Amino acid sequence: MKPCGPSPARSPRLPYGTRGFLLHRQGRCTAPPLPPAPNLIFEKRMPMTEQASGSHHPQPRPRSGGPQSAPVEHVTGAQSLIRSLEEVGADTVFGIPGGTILPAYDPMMDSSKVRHVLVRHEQGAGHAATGYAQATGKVGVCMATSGPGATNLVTPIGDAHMDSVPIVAITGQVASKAIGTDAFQEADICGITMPITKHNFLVTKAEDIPRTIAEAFHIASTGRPGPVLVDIPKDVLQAQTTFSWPPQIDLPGYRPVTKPHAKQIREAARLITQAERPVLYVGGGVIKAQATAELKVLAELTGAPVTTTLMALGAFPDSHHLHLGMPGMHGTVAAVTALQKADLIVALGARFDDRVTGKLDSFAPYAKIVHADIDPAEIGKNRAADVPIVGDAREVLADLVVAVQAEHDAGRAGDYTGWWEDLNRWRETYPLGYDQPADGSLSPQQVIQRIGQLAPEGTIFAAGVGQHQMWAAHFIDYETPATWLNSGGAGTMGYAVPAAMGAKAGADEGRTVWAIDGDGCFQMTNQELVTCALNNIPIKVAIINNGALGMVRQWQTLFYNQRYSNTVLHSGPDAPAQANLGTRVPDFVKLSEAMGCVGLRCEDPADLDAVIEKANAINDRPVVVDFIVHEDAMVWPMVAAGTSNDEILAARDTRPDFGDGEDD
Amino acid sequence: MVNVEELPLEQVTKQLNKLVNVLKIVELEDGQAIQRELVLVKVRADNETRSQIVEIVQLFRAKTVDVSPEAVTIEATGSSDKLEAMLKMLEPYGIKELVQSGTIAIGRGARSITDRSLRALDRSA
Repeated sequence: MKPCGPSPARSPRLPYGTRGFLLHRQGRCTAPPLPPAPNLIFEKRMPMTEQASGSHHPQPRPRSGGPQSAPVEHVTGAQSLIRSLEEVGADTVFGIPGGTILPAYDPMMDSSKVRHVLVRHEQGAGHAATGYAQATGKVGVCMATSGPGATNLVTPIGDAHMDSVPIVAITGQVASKAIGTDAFQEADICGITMPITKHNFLVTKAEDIPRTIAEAFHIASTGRPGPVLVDIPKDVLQAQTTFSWPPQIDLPGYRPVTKPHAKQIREAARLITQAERPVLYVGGGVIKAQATAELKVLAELTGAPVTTTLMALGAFPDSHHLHLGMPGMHGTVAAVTALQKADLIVALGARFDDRVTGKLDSFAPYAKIVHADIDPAEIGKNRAADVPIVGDAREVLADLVVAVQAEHDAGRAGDYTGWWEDLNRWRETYPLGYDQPADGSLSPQQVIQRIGQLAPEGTIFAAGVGQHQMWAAHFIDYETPATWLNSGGAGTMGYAVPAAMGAKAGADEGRTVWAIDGDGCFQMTNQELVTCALNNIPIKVAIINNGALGMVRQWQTLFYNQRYSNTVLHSGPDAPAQANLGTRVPDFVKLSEAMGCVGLRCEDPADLDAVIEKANAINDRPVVVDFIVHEDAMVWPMVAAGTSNDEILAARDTRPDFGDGEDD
Repeated sequence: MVNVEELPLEQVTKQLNKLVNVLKIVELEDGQAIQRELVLVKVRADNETRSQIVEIVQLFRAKTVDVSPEAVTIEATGSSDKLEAMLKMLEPYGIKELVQSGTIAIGRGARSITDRSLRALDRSA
């Protein structure tokens, strides 16, 4: 293993993570000066007997003249931690202090390079780090104290693990001698997060802090990205140590393969040109590898149709004529059917998730599979691959372009004319659509569609989980990568507001960030709007307020005889039901205003554009718009859970008629 | 040791390989590897049965590591088949206590799985 210092000799064609890491190393000095932190915040979760740590002597911080000069600084473990974060280029940290992490917050106050955003709940810190990472391509950082602080990070860490998002979580731990004694605010967070992190560390010596931070960022950002947790006992933070940078990374068991095998690439290219009904099945790995330009070249070179998964929206322009839309449970009829009828599926950074394949044994029965992924464990996990390719999506795509071009030059090009006739027929017959509610109330799909159409160019959208997430996937056009953030694998309700906050904090100045949220999701994490209001993070939130846990309600409509058990949010056992008025307790407008945001409400389709424009015009404060929408709107198309993708319903009780039946 | 079909085994190997602390995974198949388990077993023994038990111990090339008027303690290593056979022979005398390890294994021949990993360690040092 090499040390991780930046090396000008490195090729620019390194995998995404490595580039992100190098980008980090350059650092960004855009962080605004920190407001003086009120002493109050240090008291949270601090045991009554706690004393100040006595580490109040910030060392001089000579500007590092580069990786060659490594002056040794005498510091505390806490200062070493902050210096390490500065050196890896972590410009933003989302967190909340508490007893055991407290020593780290003292030097944090003096850092001019690391901006700390004081969130209101650790879950918000974790999702903010994820949103930051997904929007910027860099490693997101969150910080929490031991015990409950650390366990509150478990959900966002699990979320980032499922969606392969590079984040580093730093947690305080009780003093080394107290570990294992059920000490105040002790939790074995390394044990708890073992199955949901890419790797985690318990730091036992202060001298290990710089190397551990460098390794954590390296592991999080390279190979298949993922969350890494660094747990640091309080006595380690308080200990005296030395700091020098760069440290020597020592990870002999970590060697991600990024360069694909040439023979497999040639075989894949041969299959692509021989196929009659190919589909490029594109997953989130293509966005993470920053391979979208290469994807466009390959798609246009081959003329093969493209389908982008929920995690890959924006990897290929939605407006492109080769794009079929999203596959899966709520995918377009064209995309789902294309995969079912394909004779070749080229999976790129995708993992044959059950929401994409439906019933696995009946998925794509005629297709040969080319499966390219940076994680060898994904290949053959769910569906056997005829041509397995382990490598970084960007290198795979670049090599595939060359190999396919070579096939073309040799006079072997694929002819997909007949295939496109079928695809276009499905696309034209079963486009995405929705009905306007008969009672004149707002249609949730139209709200989301208009937000997308009226949003400034380059707007980043973050969604919660449920119906509004699927509609946001359907009715907003994503033309560029990293403009769509959502919780795909974990399906974490409450993701939208904190993720939007993280994205806004990391994105370029002036970039608009819209959170598309549901009234259920919003009630899980809306407290982070306080963080947004106080830290100049003016996000916009659309609450698609149908007064219900809409997606669960949809399943109750379809599979549980309209028995709406515990999905009604607008009323309780003792409050009268008011159908189609949305959730009014809490009053989201007043709630938002109480949190320092502008609160707007829209109930009439006639006001829709004006309200959205008004929200778009406010850029000095967070804006929340409460859109009261019809409660019976449903997400279509749909493949019921556990059934074959052949059973897709374009709308309720409407099975597509594929007519020719030649493949059935 | 895992007891699975070929496809799950591949997934087990790949998942283990993902662990950052794992240097290398090698599948050691029955024929090409020496596999051993360790068992410590306390058997009821009196003046009448002790010599018979010691005979069994010798048959299986095990060791008697402790003896008292009512019991002997036996240490045995071997494949799980061999240990199972020995325990079956000892059972009629009365097994008072038994501690058994899992399987450890090493490949036959001169090749070593650590050679390359050690080189990697040297380089990084």
